[in-house]
Amino acid sequence: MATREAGKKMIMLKSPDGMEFEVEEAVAMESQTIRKMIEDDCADTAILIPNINSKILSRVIEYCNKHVPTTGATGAAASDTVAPAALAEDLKIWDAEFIKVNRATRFNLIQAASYLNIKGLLDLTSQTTIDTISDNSLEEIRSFLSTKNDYLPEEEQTIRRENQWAFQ
Amino acid sequence: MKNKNGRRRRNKAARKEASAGNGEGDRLSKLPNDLLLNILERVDTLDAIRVCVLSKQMLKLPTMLSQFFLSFDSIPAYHDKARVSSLSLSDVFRTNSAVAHVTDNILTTRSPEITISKLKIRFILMQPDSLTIGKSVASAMATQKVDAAEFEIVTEKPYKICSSADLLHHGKQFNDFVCACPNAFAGLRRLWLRNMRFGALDIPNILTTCKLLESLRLTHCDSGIHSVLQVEHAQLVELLVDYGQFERVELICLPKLKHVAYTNWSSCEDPMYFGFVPQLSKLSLTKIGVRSEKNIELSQLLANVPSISELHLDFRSEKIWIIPECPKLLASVLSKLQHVNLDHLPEGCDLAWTMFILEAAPSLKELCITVWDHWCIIFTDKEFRKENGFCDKADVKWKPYAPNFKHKNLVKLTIYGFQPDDNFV
Repeated sequence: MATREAGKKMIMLKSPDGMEFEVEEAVAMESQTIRKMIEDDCADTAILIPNINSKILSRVIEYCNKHVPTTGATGAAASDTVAPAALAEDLKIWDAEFIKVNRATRFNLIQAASYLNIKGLLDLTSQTTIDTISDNSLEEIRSFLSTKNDYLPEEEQTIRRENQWAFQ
Repeated sequence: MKNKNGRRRRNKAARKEASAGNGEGDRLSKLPNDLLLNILERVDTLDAIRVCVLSKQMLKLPTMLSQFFLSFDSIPAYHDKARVSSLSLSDVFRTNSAVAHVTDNILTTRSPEITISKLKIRFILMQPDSLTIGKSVASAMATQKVDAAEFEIVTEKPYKICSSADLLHHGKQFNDFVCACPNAFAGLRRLWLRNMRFGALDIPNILTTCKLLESLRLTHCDSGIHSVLQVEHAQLVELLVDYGQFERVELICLPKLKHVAYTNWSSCEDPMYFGFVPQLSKLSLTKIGVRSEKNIELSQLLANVPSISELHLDFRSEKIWIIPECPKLLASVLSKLQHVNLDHLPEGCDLAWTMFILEAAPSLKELCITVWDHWCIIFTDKEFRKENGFCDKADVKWKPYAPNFKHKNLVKLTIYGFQPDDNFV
């Protein structure tokens, strides 16, 4: 709380396509990977985040901003004793909106969450990916997950024979 | 690196031209294996395999899974209310066979150097499926590292249509199963049985075989009407009993036991006896009380267990079946109590009696009271209530012992209830 008033420490994150994002240290430290860099003093000026383009990185930062503890728009110290259940519910609704993205973006977010080691985001993106599969037929799953049928016809026959139960 | 990626991308893109599919970026199989596994381990194993058989590239993934959950009800449409009616019993039995087949297949073909961190199998006790499962789990335990194995066993007939003979038959089926695969049971950590009536020594024998067992749940199981079950086990941490016709469950010697839950016992006396259970800290009792049954005195029931820190009593909107007692009697057994949950208290009754817990438990931090006449669970038919000994609402009489009583440690008091009225003051 004190740092919030006394001017928060900021960190610069750079994406490989040259964009720079200035974020609060606490927000950046939602990523265990960045936390480790900061704690090991490898983060003097700017941290280059490889493999994550600016579009995805900005979404990741948006997620971290929302999920950093004691955030809350008002930031009053008392607010975290008020109905944590309601706060969690609010976050859930926010998450559900946040994850309404196309598949490519979602898969990119999964990779970003994994590289940056942000458990909440990895859970959210992975779970969303797999959520609807249990009630769908194979063809529905195939199109939903956009998995390509890369079998040769005779290979597919063998697979169908060996895993007959799965195709019923 | 960039170059290589770029080339691969072009090649794939070229190959895909013909299929004119989606953009390259949205293929699931493009993700690295560890992330795919992380995703696949979130669903049950049959579903994970259904995904993996879709492409050659993902076909190898099931051999790398470290967590398995296989279940006979993993049928597409089983959890979809609109479609579930179209399923027949044969679909369920067929999936049970698939569970057995996949268990065997996956445990024998997987990479043995990857530890199995979790293996949970929910299956119907029927041959040859159970035997296949038992044997392959036993051999996996012998040749690979299996951290936590769990069986949840259901019977072909659901409890509602079980006769007494069926229950006995299920008990025998299970005994035979244990005898056929003792090594699988010897390595099991969690076990949940349903709808079985055993002989007097069967459950103790099963517990002897399951020497690593940490959690046992018995639903509609017993060793005969009015039988007494004596439990001794070196490793058991959790014991959950729902229904069944035990007269009493006696916890003779369970040095590691921490959590006990008993739901709807049929005994008219105290349903449990606590012997040597030095670590028992969490106790849940749930019961629809009727007129003829004895009310429980916590000072008597818990005489040997001064270690309870969490107590959950659920009255299912019916008779209050505990007797408020004076702090002198109770203080010694409730001295460690920190959390109390009094659930489904009938509406419209005086709540002052609940104060007896506060007076007797100086370390109490949290008290949660839910007052609720839950129409989904209450029997409303007057004749039925009378015949089955349900009570009409009655206040529990109680007078505080210390008129100016103050509790020093209570941090949180939650009262849930519809239609608040004077009773809450």
